[in-house]
Amino acid sequence: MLAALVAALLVPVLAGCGDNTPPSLPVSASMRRVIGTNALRVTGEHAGIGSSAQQASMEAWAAGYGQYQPQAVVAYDPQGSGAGATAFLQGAVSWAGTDIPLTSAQRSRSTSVCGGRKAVDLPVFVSPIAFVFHIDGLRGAHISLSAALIAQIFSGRITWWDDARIVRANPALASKLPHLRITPVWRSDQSGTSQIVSSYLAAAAPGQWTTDTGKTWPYAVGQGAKGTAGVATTVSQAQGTIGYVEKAQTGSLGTVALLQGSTPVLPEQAGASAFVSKAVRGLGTGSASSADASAKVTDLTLSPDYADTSADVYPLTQVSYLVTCPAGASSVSASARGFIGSWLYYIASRQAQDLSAQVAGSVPLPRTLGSRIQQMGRTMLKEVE
Amino acid sequence: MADHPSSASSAPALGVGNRQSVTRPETPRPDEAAGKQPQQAHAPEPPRLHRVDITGALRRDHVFTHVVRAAGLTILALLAAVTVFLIARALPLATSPRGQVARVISEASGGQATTFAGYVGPLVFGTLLVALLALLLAVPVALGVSLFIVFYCPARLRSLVSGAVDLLAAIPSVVYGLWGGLVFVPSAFGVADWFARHLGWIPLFAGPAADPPRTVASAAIVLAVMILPIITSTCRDLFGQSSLLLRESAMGLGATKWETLRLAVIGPAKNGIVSAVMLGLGRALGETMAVLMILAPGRTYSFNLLQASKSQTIAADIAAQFPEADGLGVSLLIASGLVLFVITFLVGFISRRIASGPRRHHEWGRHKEIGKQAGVIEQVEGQRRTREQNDDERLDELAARQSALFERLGAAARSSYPRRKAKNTLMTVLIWLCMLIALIPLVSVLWTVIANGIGRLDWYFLSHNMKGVVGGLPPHGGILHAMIGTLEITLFAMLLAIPVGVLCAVWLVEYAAGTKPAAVVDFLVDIMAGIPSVVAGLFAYSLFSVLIGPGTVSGAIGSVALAVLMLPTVIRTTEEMLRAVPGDLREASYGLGVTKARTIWKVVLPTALPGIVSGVILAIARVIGETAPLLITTGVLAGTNWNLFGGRMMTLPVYVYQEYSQGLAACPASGSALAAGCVSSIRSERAWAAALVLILLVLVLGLVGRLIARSADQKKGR
Repeated sequence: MLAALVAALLVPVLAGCGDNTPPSLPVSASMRRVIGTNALRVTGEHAGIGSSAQQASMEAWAAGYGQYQPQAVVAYDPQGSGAGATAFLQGAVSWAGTDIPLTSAQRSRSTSVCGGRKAVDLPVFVSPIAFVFHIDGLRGAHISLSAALIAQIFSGRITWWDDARIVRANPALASKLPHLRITPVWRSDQSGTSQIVSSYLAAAAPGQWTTDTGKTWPYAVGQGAKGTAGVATTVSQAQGTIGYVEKAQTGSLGTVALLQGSTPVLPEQAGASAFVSKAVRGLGTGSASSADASAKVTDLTLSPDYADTSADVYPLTQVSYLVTCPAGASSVSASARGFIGSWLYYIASRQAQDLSAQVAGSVPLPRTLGSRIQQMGRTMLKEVE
Repeated sequence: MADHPSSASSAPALGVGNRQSVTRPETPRPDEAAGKQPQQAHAPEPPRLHRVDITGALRRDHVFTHVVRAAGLTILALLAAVTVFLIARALPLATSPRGQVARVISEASGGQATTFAGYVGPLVFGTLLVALLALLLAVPVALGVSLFIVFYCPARLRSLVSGAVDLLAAIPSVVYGLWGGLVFVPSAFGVADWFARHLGWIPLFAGPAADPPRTVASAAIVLAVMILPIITSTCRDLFGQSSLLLRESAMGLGATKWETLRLAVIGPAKNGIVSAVMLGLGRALGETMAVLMILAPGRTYSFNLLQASKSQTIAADIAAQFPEADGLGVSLLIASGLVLFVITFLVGFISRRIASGPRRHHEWGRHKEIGKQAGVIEQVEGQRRTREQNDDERLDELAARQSALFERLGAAARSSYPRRKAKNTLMTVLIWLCMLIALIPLVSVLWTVIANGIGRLDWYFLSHNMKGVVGGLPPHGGILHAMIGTLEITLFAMLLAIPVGVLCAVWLVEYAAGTKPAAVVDFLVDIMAGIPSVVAGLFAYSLFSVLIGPGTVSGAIGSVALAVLMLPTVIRTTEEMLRAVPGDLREASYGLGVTKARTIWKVVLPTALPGIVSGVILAIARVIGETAPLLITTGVLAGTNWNLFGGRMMTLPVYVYQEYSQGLAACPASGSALAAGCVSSIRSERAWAAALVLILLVLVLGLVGRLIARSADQKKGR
C-alpha cells in the first residue's frame, strides 16, 4: 500500500518533473536548417522578464521554439515592463519584454551590459487594444465612438449612454442606447496599455485629453481594476460599463469601433496591421546603407502616429518590444548569443507570428519588419559559428 | 495536575543525570525511578556531587547560554536589518533632486500628487478607513459568535462550529480576493443601491452607488469576514476561561442569561477583547490581496463608502505599483511601506499597553518570571495559571468582582422583569443571528471554490506543471511545480524561523526574564508581529538586491520573507508553552544537579513540545497562503524548479493569482488544426482548482496542529 503510494508519487517526479507534452505546433524544414539542433545546440535556461501583455505569445513561442531546440528552457516572467527593463539593465536577464521602448537614459545605461553598445528595442508583438462595453440591449452590436468622445467619457464629461453626442455618432443605434449611467473602467496598476490608450487620446483628441501620458491612468472617473483581467471582469459585472483591454480579452463583451473620420474601424487584424505597416515605413532603411551592416544594428523603435485618421487603420494598436543587446555586443556570452539569435529568428518568423495570432490573439508583424528582425538574429548566429 | 506530567516527562532527565554519575553503582531504571522521583529530587547524596565530572557539563551549559542569547539578539539584528534595508532603499526619495522625485510621484499617482506627503496621505486615510470599517462590522459579529460557541451552542455542535470558524481563518487571502472580486461584488449591488437610494442623505451612503460595487464598503465587508475568525477564536478562548463561580453567582442572584454573560463574562474579559480587536485591526491594516482584487482605487479623502475610486490602501497600492516601479519608484513604494509599518506598529503598541493590565509575578525556585501580558493568549494563560497557582489571589479578585457584580445586578434589577426578559430573548436571537451571518460567507466561499475548482482537480492537474502549455490548447497544465515551490519555500522558512524562534523564547523565558535586554527583545518581537506581509516581501527583496546583487530571484528570498512573518508567532507560542511548564519540574531537575542547559533541553522543551508544535503548524498554515511577499520575491515560472537557491520558483498562492490575472485565453478559429479541445476560460478554471488545493492544504495542516494540541492537552490531564 505504502509502496504503491510512493511509486504513484514518484512517477511524475521521474517523468521530467511533470512537464507536459506540448501540443504539436507547426514545424518547418527551412526553420530547422537555421535554428535546429543540426545548426546549433542551445541548452540551459534563458529567462526573460517583462510585460504581461506578451505572456500568452511568449508561452506559445517557448513551446514552438522547443520543437527546434528541445534542450533549451525559455522562461518568461510577466512581472511587468518596468521590472523587465530594470532586470535587463542590471544584467539579471539577457532579454526583456516591454510595452514601452527604453528611454534614452535607459539606453545609455544599457552600454554597461551590452559591452559598450546600446541595447535595441525590437517590435515583436502587435495587438489592437479594444474598448469593450457591457449593455445587455446591445448584445452583438458595435458602438462607434471617436477619440474625442472616448476622451470625454473617460474624463467624466459624458456620463450617460444616451448622451446626444453618442447618439449622433451612432444613428443606427439611436433608439437602442439606454438611459444608463456610464461607468468607465481603467487599469489601476501602472501599465503600458494605459500609457498607449492615453497617448492615443492625447494625439487624436488633443482638445479633450490634456493630461500627461504616463503609465498610471490620469482620471479617477468610474472604476480602476487591477490588470487586464480585472478590467474585463469589472466590465462584465455591471451594466453600462466601458473599459480598455487587449483584443484577446474581449471575450463576449461588445467592442467599440473607432471612428476614423466618419468610418467606424473595428479592432481587427487588418486595421492594426495597416497601422503598424505605416509606422514601419517611417523607420527608413536603417543599417543597410552602413559600411558594416552585420555589426551595426539600428534600433527598431516605432513611433506610431496615433493621430492618423485614415479609414484603413486602427490606431489604438499596441506594439510591444523585446529588448536585448545587439549583435557584436562583446559582453554577451556565446551561449546567450546563440540563444538570442535563434530566438529572434524564430519569434519574428511568419510561423511564430501566425501561431501567436491564433493562440494569443495578436496580429502578425508586417513582413518587412519580421524579416529585418530575423536578419539580426542570423547575424548573431553567424557570430557564434 | 503538577504530579502527573512531571513524573512522566522528567523520567528521561533523571536517567540522563545518572549517566553523569560515576560513583553510584546501581542506577535505577528510569521507569522505576519515575514514581519516586520527587523524593529523590529533594535528597541528593552530597558526596556524589563532588565526584561528578562536571567540567564538560558546565562547558556545554556555558555554550548553550551563549547560543540562546545569540538567538535572542538575532531578533535585534533582524529588526535592525529590516529597518536599515528598508530605510536605505527608501532614502533616495529624500536625497534625489526634488524635481526628479516630484516627477516620479506624479507618474505613480497619475498626476495627483507631487510630494511624498501628498502621495501617502490619502493612502493612509484609505488604509485606516477600510480597516476601521471592517473592524466595526466584524467585532459585534465576532463577539456574538464567540458567545454562541461557548454558551449557546448545543454541545454536540460545538467542535463543529468552532472548527468552521478556524476554517474561515485558514482560507488564504488570495482566495478571499477571488471570491470577493468574482462572487461577492456582483451580488452586492442591490443592497448598496438600496442604501444609496434610501439612506443617501447620510453622507456615508451618498449615491449613486457604484456598479459593480468595488467600493470601500465591499472591501471592508470582505476584510471583516477575514478578521472575524481571528477575533472570534481569541474571544472564544477568553470566554471559555471565564470564571464559573462568578457566573453561578450571577445566576444565583437571579440574573438572566444575557445579564450573566454581560457582567460575569464580557466585563472581566474586557482587556482581552480589546487586544483581540487590535489583533484583528493589525491584520486588516496589512491585508493586500483581497483589497487589491476588490477595491477600485482612488486617492481622495472621502467618506463615500458606496462610490468607487475614492480610496486605496497602502498595502494594495504597493502590490499594484511594484511590478512597473523602477529606481525611485521602488523607493517611493518602500517609503510608503515604512509608513504602513509605523501604523501597524502603533496599533500593536497600543494593544500591548491595553492588554498588559496588572502584572503578575510567579516564583519558580530561583527564577523570577514576570508574566508579560503581551498578547491575548498570554492573558488567557495568565488567568489559567493564576487559577492554578495563586488560588488565594484569585479568590480575592473574584470577591472584588462579585461585589461589583452585586452592585450592578442591583441596578439591573430595578428595571422591570418582563423588560429584562425581553432583552434576554432579543440578545439570544441576535447571538444566533451572528452565528448565521458568520456562516454565510464561509459556506459561500467553500461552495464557490469547490464548485469551480473540482472540475479541473484530478491526478493530471496535480502531477504536471505548466511547461509546454500553450494558451487554451490541450494539454491544460497543472500545479506540480507550484506545490513543490510552496513546499520547499515553506520548509526553508521553517528551518530559518523555528530554531531561532524557539531558542529566542528559551532565552526570554528561562534566562533573561525580567532583565532590560529581554524587555527590549520582547518589545521588538511585538514590532515584528506587526510587519505587514507585503513589507516583509519588500524587506527580503531589498536585502538580497543589496547583498547579492540587483535582480536576484530565488525561492530562498521568499523563504526569508515568510520566516520574518513566522518568527514572532513561533516566539510567542513557545514562550507561552515554556511558561506553562510547571516550575516544580525545573526545580526537580536542578535538585538532581542537572545543569540548566540540560534541564531545558531534556525536561522543559520536551514537556512544552506538543504545544510548540501545534503553534508552529498554525504559523505555517498562516504563511503558506501568503501571496503578496512571494509575488515580489520569487517570481513566476512555468516549469518545475527544485533548486531553492537559484532562479524563479512558482508557489500555489502566486499561481492562483497569476492564473486569475491572465484572464481569457485566445482560441484559434474553429477551422484551424489547433482548435480542438481549446478552452478559453482555462486560466480561471486552473485558478479555482489551485485555490481548492491550497485550502485543502491549509486545512490539513490546521487539523494536524489541532490534533497535536488536543493530544497534548489530554496528556496534561485536562
